[in-house]
Amino acid sequence: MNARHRPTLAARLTLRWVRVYTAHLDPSRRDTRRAELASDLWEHETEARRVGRGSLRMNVQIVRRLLTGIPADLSWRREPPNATPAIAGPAPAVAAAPPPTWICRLRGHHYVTKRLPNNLDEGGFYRVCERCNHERMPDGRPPAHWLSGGGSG
Amino acid sequence: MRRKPGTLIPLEVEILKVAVSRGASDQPEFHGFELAKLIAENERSGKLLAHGTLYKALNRLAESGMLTSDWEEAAIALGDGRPRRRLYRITVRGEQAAATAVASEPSHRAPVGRLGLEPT
Repeated sequence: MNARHRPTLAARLTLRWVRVYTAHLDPSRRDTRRAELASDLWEHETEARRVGRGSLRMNVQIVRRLLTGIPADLSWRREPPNATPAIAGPAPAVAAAPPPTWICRLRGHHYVTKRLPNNLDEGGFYRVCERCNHERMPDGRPPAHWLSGGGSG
Repeated sequence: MRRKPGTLIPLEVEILKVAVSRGASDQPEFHGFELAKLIAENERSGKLLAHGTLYKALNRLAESGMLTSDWEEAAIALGDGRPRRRLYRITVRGEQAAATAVASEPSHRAPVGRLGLEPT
């Protein structure tokens, strides 16, 4: 950030949180996340000023992004370094517990219903938050594949 | 979450869609905040994605080879007086995954109510 740019209170709070949840991580992973968030916050503040958004509204927006992203931050931290991504390869060895569904409810997210993999027999269906990928069985439990080493958040 | 190879969650599909449309433009690269803004505009919600959700998804897509990322030249950022941007770009693999996901969208989004399950 340049000499004239002073981060807002919300941005400073976010940067502090980033330092906390990236502490003791692999330096490359840690520094990448910290730098990426510093850039995001700078862009956010600059954009808000450009469009004449009020300081209070901008701060609220940044804090909302911070708070609603905490479950994903924590599950990202729990992922083993250089974990093979779940999208196109084998699942990580350590399952990350899905964040609580109340976070999604607060955010107004919707759940979609999906069929369980064939090798699992838990009633046939589970629910996935459309935005955050939080998975739950109809009774609120995480599906068995979270517990068998396949969770990624 | 264990997924079948090539399976994407809706947010990742959304990211890839934006990345595909950017890939076809004269500015194929984008950074995280720009992406959050574009998604908010597409959804007309005005709500920007949470930091954790956004960067976790980007990280996953980059590690799976659907996006590539590079830090911009330090001199450019320095010249503009801002932190360096991490710039993402869609790959061929990402384009293929997005096309597959979009093609199968209606079938994999079963309405929750039809199955007698209420949203949490």
